[in-house]
Amino acid sequence: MEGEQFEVKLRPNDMAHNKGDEKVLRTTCFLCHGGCILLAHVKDGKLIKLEGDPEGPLNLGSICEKGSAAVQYVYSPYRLKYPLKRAGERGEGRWERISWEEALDTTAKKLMEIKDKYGGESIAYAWGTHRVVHSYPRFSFYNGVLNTPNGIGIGHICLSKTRMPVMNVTVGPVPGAAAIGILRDFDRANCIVAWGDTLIESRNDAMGGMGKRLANNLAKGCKLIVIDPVFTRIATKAHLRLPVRPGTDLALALSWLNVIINENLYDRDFVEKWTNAPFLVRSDKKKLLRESDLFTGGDPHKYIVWDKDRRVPRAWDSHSLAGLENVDPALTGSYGIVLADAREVECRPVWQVIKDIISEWDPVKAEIVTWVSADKIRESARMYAKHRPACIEWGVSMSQCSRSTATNQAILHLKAITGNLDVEGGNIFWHIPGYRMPAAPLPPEKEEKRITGGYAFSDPRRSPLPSAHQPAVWRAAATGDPYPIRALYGESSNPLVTHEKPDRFVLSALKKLDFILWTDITMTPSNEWADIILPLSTPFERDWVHDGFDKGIFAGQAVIEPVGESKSDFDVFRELCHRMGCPDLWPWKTERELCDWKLEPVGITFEDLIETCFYPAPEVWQKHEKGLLRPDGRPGYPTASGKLELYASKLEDAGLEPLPKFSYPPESYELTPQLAREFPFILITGSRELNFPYFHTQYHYVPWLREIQLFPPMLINPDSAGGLAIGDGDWVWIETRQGKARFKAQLTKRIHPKVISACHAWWYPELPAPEHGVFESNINLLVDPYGATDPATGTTELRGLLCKVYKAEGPPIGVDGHKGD
Amino acid sequence: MLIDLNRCTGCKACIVACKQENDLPPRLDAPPGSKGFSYIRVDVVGPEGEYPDLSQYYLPVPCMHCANAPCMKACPTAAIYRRDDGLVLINAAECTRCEECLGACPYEAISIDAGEDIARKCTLCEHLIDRDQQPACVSACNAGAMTFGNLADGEAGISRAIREAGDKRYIFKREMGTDPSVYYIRFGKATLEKE
Repeated sequence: MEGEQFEVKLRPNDMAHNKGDEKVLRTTCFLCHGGCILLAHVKDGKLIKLEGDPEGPLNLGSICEKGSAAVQYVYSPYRLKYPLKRAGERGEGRWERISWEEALDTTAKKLMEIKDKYGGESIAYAWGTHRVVHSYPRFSFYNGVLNTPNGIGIGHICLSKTRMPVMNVTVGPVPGAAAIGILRDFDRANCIVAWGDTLIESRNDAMGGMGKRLANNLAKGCKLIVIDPVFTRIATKAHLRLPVRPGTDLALALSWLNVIINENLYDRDFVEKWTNAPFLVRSDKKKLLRESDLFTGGDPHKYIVWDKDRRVPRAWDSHSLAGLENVDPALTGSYGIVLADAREVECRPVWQVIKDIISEWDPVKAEIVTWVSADKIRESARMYAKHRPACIEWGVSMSQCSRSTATNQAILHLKAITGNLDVEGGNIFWHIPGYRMPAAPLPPEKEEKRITGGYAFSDPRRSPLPSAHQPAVWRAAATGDPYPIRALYGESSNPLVTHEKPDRFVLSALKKLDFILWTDITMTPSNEWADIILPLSTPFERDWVHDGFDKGIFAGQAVIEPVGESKSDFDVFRELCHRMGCPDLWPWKTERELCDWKLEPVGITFEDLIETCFYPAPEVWQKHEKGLLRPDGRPGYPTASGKLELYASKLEDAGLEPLPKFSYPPESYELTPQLAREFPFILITGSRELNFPYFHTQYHYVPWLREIQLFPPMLINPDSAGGLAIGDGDWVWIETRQGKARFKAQLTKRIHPKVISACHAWWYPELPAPEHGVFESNINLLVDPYGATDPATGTTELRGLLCKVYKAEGPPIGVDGHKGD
Repeated sequence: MLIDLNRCTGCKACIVACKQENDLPPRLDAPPGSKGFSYIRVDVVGPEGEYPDLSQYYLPVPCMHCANAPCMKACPTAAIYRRDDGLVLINAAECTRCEECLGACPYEAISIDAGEDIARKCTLCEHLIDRDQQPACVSACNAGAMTFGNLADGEAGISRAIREAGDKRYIFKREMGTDPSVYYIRFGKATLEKE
């Protein structure tokens, strides 16, 4: 494909490059969630070059393709320069320029009208990844001003709302970025597992261009295990590669647990002392045994273990975090316990229940399901358990299927029982004491109004991330069920591209809503449906601080003035809070003031911080032993029992499976053999490998990036392609029961003959407004968020679907030389 | 330069850093009939084997700044010259775009700038190294795979690293006899290359 003539015509950039006198400013990049510190060269107020800062603790001087192309992004002709109001019907693609005053006045007025008439819950907000917004207490606006519980996004198919609940129910609500469990110590690990993660292409998401740190450690002899159906860039470096069948990572994790537990490769001390492994589970109700079961008036917060020496049940008291001094609790076996009603019930320790579950997952059985050889399963499990400290980087793949909770839970169990949680070189919990992340609370009565789709973890009382269930909210907006949504605040979001099955409810909702505001950096297929659009500034035009990257607090400073009339989200929220009668909710006048306020308890100012742009988190490990995880300062975990809950009592409370149990992908050769006859391939969508060099829907209009990946790719094995008369570079349709889309085929041996991989987040900025080709190569047309979903989080099946592939007559019109008739 | 193929992941950060540093037009803005150009490319060598037992590595190819440069020999106007420190450069003013150098280079390191009507190639970021800075690709590399230094100084980091590489040292298309100034450390698991 190199050297071919092609037909992508982007609007030309005009960037002046001078290399004369320039000032160099340090800042952190936020083009993804990386945290790379860069040196910005600015001449006459213009950004002319970005390079890596050798002192950057994550990037160590390196800069990725997005950073090097950022000058094209900042001065892109696609950027919105001033506020717009639609002229004509919604979605016609006609706009007129208006002033910020008019835009904000109109927005405030319309939102207040709708809130007064229908209630705040009738206003939904859709949020994307932002460039930057993590810094902002924007929930003060949504909760405190709009009073809406209906925030939507892709949390349920992302780390945020899939991992957070699993961390929450297992280790409790730990503070800081550790709550999402995304962090790991690549520098000091002896073994790194890339599980469903490309590491290189997905170097964003708290990775900070970690290539150098990873390469340095590998050169020192760190072991690398890569678990992926596709042979990716990082797989080329692996000591062990596990070509797992898509959708069966849960079976693999259970098999690793089988090997590690049966071969006694786990940290027995940790398991016995700090987890609820010894707690008894009653076999009749399949629930944790509590003192209240043993006698009337007993305490339900006291859990029962079997004292091996004295051969009696003993109680662990969750209030005093005591009761088992000098007790050697049983981890295995089964014991008859007499209950309050005089019945004797067989009870087993949690650890025994886990052993029973994993006994079905010896490597020989797992090989049949996962397509990974039994030998490799054993070898890799032993490698991970024996090369401590070890860290598992769990990619988003496992969080994008209907067994998301169970799979993530099983992997978290691996980290916990091998003693790799919160240790140097392992899966660490970074935390910056004191760092403020404010947000006004939602009025309590509005909690009842949250459109949760019935999923327990859309409820913020169970999941710390306050938002509603996105597919359910679109359905409400389109159909009025359970109640109509009337307005949308689109905050750097692109739902027609990123939300599932957008041709079902999203598009009709956007046509119906009474009022739509959008804030964004460029026009997108989604914001073409707005009534008012506000232009946002880029990360290089803002002052911000963020604690969600690895290793500490990072700061970015505005190295140039905002381009055109663009402003930061900070200004938008501030103006709206003040115009809508809640000035107290946004007291800061500038971004710097807000940054200083967030940093104040840490003891530094923004001005101090931007010298290095980095403030390291204290390196204090095994915080559970030191009383640093619980709000009351006592040792243990901030869970109901004070223990790390392998058996998740919060899942039990919600009526969900408290331990990971395997099931096949809902569309699979095993469960739907008829379907598999028509749709014989296994489809994985959204691999970062194919989204490279973009960050989701962003940067397709940046010339130096677009030329790396001109068209939406799909991967197919050459043997499979041959059977379908598909050649390298042909345009093909990929189709599921739900829908179809077209992609440009790359034939490669790197993928299993039965597996297809297709990119996500593709749209064509160069195709005419308002569609910009939004439904041409949109993998989300093929998925179903109202079908099989994860029972706790509502996660949609995005990986491991059944599909068919066939040659297309050509690309979409206007693409790749196709002129149409 | 010394490029460690065990570290390189083919991520192309070097290519875009080079474009930014040298102001190279993207292919998308290239004039009709032109394909735009890079000063460095990254070849993918492989995959060898059958799924799942595969091997693959990545080979960044800048200009080799050869001591025995075929492009220099081929240039009819002596537009291509070699500096004392080993850099091979094209003097744009003397270039007639005859394109002889393109065919002469076994590494395909030279491109045509159809806008300026000249041949262009990697300059080892001459403007940076003359200020004691690194070439843009070397600084940018996301895997720390690239080292730049003075090969004439036996005690320079690069010289020591090349010695230490021993039989893992690799020269791209050694058989062409171009005597390049870019060395590689061979990829440990590949079966493809021969010395």
